[in-house]
Amino acid sequence: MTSGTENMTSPAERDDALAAEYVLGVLPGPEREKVAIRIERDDAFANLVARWETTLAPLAADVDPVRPPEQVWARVENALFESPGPQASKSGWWTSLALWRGLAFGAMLLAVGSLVYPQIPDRGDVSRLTATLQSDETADKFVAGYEHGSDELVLTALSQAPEAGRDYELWLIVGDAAPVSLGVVPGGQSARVAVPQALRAKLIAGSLLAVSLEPQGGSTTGAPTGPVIAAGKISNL
Amino acid sequence: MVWQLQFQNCSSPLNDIQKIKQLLGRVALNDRAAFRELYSLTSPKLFGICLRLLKDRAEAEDALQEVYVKIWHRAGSFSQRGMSPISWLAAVTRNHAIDILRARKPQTDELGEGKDVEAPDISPEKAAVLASEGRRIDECMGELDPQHALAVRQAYIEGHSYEELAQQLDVPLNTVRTWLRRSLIKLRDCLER
Repeated sequence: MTSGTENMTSPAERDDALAAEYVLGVLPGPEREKVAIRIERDDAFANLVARWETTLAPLAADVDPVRPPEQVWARVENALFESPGPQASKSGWWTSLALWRGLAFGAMLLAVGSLVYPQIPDRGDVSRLTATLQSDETADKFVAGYEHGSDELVLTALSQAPEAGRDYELWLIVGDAAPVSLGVVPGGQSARVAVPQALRAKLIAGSLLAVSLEPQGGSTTGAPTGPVIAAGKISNL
Repeated sequence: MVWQLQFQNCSSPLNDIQKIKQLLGRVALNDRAAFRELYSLTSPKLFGICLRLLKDRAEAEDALQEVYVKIWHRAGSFSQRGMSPISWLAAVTRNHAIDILRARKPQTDELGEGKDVEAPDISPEKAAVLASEGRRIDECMGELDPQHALAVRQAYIEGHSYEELAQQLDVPLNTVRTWLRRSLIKLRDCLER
């Protein structure tokens, strides 16, 4: 889809038009995903998108409000605040598919329905793995590199260190299993993260890495307790 | 025209925008009562948006749930780029629903499966009423080629892709792209005049 854009003159105009197309929603899936990633990485472009969201928002006035069924609110509450206990309460939203969809789009190819967690076949000769961890709600970003089967992975934080009294914690999620901690990781620098023997076979293409914001020293519950600030699927390098 | 009044009541007056802004601010601080109030105030509109885009009740309910989970987690970031709370809520909702649409297998639409919701056309009468209410966006839409204006509305409200618009209009995809881009720029120039 390029020939239709040849007569747009400057790159700035093309960017602006692309932002408009993203907001309007007309782009095909793969191109839309690329734009979604760019919004994360390119602040000036994100501003163009925001401007178009504002410009076109009045069109939504033509949509009739429809009261949703009561159970939707119950499901929202359930997804976010499943258990009454302050610590247990976070496990609900962590494991909810909704959260993962939210984090995943653009950064990961976690599609709905049958495409959830596509199993990318491992090619025998490919042993170097990588993951870019980011989210569409924060600017935080981490890049992980791992030699298949090795005892440590390298995590480079392109994010600042967390505020005082908080720590970043790295998690591995395989399929629908509960997240497993890989320990506290620093912000603003590269770090070698020890990978326990039992987890080495699970650090494969298709699994997820995620970073959550935890109290100093990391989660004490064995599960994430704070917001997920970045996540990304592991792929072959 | 009841829906229009509802929309006006829900979001147009300045005090409602202020109210939603305050609620979002409290939601950013994990205030559940504010979140509930925000939900009751805004969910009919956002559910309407999901329904029109997804045209499937069960999917729209799932999407709405996911949208409010996002809203809960991102409430603190809404004002980052100077968007109004209404535009931000509409953007979160539409982007989520359109992501779902674009991830669907293309034949789902062609087979017409799961179309629970009628997509009302925007009749000339309705368009005239909208314009007579002095809504700037409708005046500016009126300055576009009617076919192009309809395509913009169908894309924004019904979630039609370039591919679908090209099929409907029976023109090459890149032709649609060229004139849709021009129409959007023209629309904004008019809105910002």
